Amino acid sequence: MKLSRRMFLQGAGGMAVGLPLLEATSGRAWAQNRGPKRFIVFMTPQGFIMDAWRPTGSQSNWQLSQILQPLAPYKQKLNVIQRMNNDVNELNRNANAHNPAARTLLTCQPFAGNVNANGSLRSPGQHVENGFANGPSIDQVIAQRLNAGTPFRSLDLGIGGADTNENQLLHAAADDPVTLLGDPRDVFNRLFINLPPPGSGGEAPPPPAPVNAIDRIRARRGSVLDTVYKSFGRLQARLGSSDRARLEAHAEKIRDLELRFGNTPIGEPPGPPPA
Amino acid sequence: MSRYPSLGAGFLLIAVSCSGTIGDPGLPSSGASGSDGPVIPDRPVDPPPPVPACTDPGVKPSFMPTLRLTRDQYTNVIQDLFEGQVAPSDVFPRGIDRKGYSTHPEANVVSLLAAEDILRAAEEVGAQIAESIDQILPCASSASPTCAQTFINTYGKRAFRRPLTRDEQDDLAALFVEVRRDTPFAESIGIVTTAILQMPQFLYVLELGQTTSTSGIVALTNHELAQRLGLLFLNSLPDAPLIEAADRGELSAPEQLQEQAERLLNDPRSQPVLANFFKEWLEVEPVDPTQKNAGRFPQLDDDLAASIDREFEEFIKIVLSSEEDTLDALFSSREAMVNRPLAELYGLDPSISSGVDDWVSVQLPEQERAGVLTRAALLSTHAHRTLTSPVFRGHLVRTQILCDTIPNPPPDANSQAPAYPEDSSPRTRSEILQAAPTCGTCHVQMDPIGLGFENFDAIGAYRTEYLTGEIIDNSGEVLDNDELDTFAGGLDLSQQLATADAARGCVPKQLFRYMYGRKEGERDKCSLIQVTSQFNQSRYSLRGLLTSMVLTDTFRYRTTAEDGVVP
Repeated sequence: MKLSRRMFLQGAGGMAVGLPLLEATSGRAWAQNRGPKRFIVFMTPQGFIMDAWRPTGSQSNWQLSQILQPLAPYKQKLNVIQRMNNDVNELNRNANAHNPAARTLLTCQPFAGNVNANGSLRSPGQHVENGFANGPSIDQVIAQRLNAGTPFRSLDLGIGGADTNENQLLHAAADDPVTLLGDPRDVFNRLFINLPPPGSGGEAPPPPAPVNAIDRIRARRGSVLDTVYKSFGRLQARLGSSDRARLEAHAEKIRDLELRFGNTPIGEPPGPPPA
Repeated sequence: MSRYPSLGAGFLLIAVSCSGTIGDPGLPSSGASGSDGPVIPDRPVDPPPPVPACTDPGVKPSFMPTLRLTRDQYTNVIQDLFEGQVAPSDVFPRGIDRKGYSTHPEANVVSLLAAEDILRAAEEVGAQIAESIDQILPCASSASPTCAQTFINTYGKRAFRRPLTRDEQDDLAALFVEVRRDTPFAESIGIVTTAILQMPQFLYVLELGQTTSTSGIVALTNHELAQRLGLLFLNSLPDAPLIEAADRGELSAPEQLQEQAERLLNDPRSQPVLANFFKEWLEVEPVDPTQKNAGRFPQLDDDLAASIDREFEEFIKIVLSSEEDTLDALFSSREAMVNRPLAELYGLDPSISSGVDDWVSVQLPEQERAGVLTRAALLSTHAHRTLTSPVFRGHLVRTQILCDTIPNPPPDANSQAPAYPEDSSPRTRSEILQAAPTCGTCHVQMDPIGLGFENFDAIGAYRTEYLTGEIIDNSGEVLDNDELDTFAGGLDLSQQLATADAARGCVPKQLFRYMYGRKEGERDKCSLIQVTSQFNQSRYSLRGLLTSMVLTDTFRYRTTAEDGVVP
C-alpha cells in the first residue's frame, strides 16, 4: 500500500500524537470521509531563538515570525500564546531547572514523590530531586475519553526514542510515564504491518497460517496475556500499598495489550466511534 | 581460609550499637521509634566499641520498594535459566534514562511500550525454546501433559526463584491445555514460557516473607535470601548451590549467608558483576567515539574505546582478586591490563603488546597514574567532547566518593554564567565562575577538585601542557573538609582519598544504594554502622565489605510499607 505524505501527516507528526491513525489508511474512513478528530502535541524542548519565533503586531493584527512562516496557510486558525507561566513548576522545591518543566507542562502536577497519600504537598524539606508527574498528561486523558477503540489509542513518538530523560512530557497516570518510539522503521512496523491491503475495501486479510514457532506463539497472545493478567491479581493482596499501585499500573498495561492483540486479528477495522 | 576472621562467628562481638554515641554526642537512641534515630557518621570509629549488635526488635530497615529486574539482569537471567541454550532477546526495554543506580524502581517502571517489548522479548525466547525443545526438555518426545508439568515445575521454580504455588502451577497448566488443542507440543511449551517471562513473579524481585505481616516488616524467606545473593553477586538468578541451600532452609543463619557470600566472591562469574557496581558508583559509561571530537582525538577509534572500557573492568578484577583488595588499592594501585592501543594512550612502550588482542599486565607510569581515578574510562566519561570538565570531575569526587551533597543549579544558572576571555584556560574560566555571585557558592566545592585533574585530557591521555603551550597547573583543593586539603594532581588526591575517613564512610553507602535501588533511610542506620565498622576492622577490604553487607538486618528483613521516610 502506498501512503501519501499527506495521509501520514493526517495521523502522525511531532513528538506526541493523540488518537487514531489506522482508520484513515484503512479504506473505511469515518463518516462523511472525514478523519476522526485528532489531538496533536508537538514539543521542541530547550526553546527557540525567541527573536525569530515571537510574532509581531497586536492580537487582532499580527504577523508570523520567521520560524512560524511555514504555517502561513493556517494563520487564520492559529493562536500563538506567549507569556504563559508554568506555576506548577515552582511546586517542586528540590529539583533542577530541567526535570520539572516537561513533567508539569501537560500534567499540571508536581512530582508524585512530592505529594502525600492524601494529595497534599509534602513539605519542601522532603521533596525529591526528580520523579514522574503525579497525574496523567492531557493528551492521554483525551485519548482515553475519546476511546475510539483503535489498536493504538495514541502514538507517542520522539526523536531519541525512550531516552527522553529530562524531557519526560507524557504520563499515562500518576508515576506512570509514557515512553516513546524513536526508530522510524520500528514505528512503521508496529503500526502498519497488519494493515489490510489496498483495494480490499478495508477488509482485513485472514491471518496467515502460522509457519514457524514464533508465528504459532504470537497467535496465542490473547491466552498468554490473560494468564499473565491473572497472575498479577494473585499477588495484589500480599503487597504494600506503593508496590500494589505500581504493579496495578503494570497490570493495566497487560490489559491494554490484551485489548490490542486479543484473539481478534489485528488488522480488522474497528467499528464507528461512539456518538 | 578467610582473610576476614572478624566477619565470621565473631561478627556479633564487634558490631556496634545503634544506641551508642558515635561521632556525635547528641545522638538519640534509635529504638522502636525508628524514624528519628541518629545520623550515620561518615567516618567509622577506630576502634569500634564492643557493644551488642543490631538485634533490638525495633531496629529494622526502612521501606524497601519492590525492585524489577533490570535489562542487564534479564539478559543474565535468560542465559542462566536455560543454561546458555537460548539467546536473550534484544528487544527487552532499556531502563528509563535517569541519574542514579540502574536498580532504582523509577528506572524500571513498565510503560505500555515497555510492556509490549517485554511481551515481544518473551515470544522470542519462547520460540527458541520450541525450536530446541529436545535439548531443554528430555521428556519432550513423549509430548505428554506430565512432561509439560515437569517443565512448569522445573523452569517455573528457577524463573520465580522459589517453588511455584499451587495456583501458579494450575494457571500455567491451564494455559498449556488450552493452547495444546491446536498447537504442537513444542510451541505450547514455548507459549507457557512466554507467559512465565511476563509474570510479576518473574519480573519483580518479590520479597513477601513467609506470612502476611501486620507490622509491615517481614523476615525474608530462604528463597528470597538466595534471590538477593544471586542478584548481588551474579546479577542474575541464584545458582544451584544457593537454591539447594534455600530448599534445605540453610540460609537463615549469618554464618550460612557468609559462607555463600565468600563462595560467590571466589566464583569468577561474580567478577564482571562486581565491576558493574564500580562502574555505576563512579558513573563510568562506555566511551563513545562519536561523542568525542574526532579532529582533536584521532586515535580514539572503536578499538581504543572498547579497550578503555575493558581496562576499567580488568582493573576492578585485579583489585578484587588481589591480596590487597582494599579501598586503598582501588585508589592507589598502578597495576593494569593493557593492549597496544592502551599502551600508547598510557604513554607506555607500545612494543609490550602486539595488538588489540594482546593484553599484558603492566605497572602504569609512576609519576602519572595510580588508582581508579586516573583510568581513561573514568576521565573520559567525566569530560566534554573536546575539553575536560573540572566541574564533572569535581562533582564526581564530591557526590560519589565523599557522599557530599551538591545542590542543583538555580533555574537561572545559565543566564547568570559569566563571560570568559577567548582561549582562556580551564583554570582561568573556573576562577571567573567561582568568583561569580550565585554560581560560585557551589562551584568552589567542585571546580578546585576537578582542576587538579587537568593533566588528563578529555579522553584521559596524560599531558603537561595545553595545546596553546601553556604549562598545566595541577594544583587542587578540597574545601570545607578537615582531612583533605590542597593537593598536587590527581595522583596526590588519590593518595589522600585512599586513607580518608570520608571516602571509607561513603563507599558502604554507595554499595547500599546500588543493592537496594534506594537511598539509605533512617532505620537502615544500624545496618550501615555495622557494615562501616566491619569495613574498618577488615582494613577496608572490598570483598569483606560485600560479605558484611549480607549479614545486616537490611539484607535479611524488609519493610514492605512506607514508614514516613521518603525512599
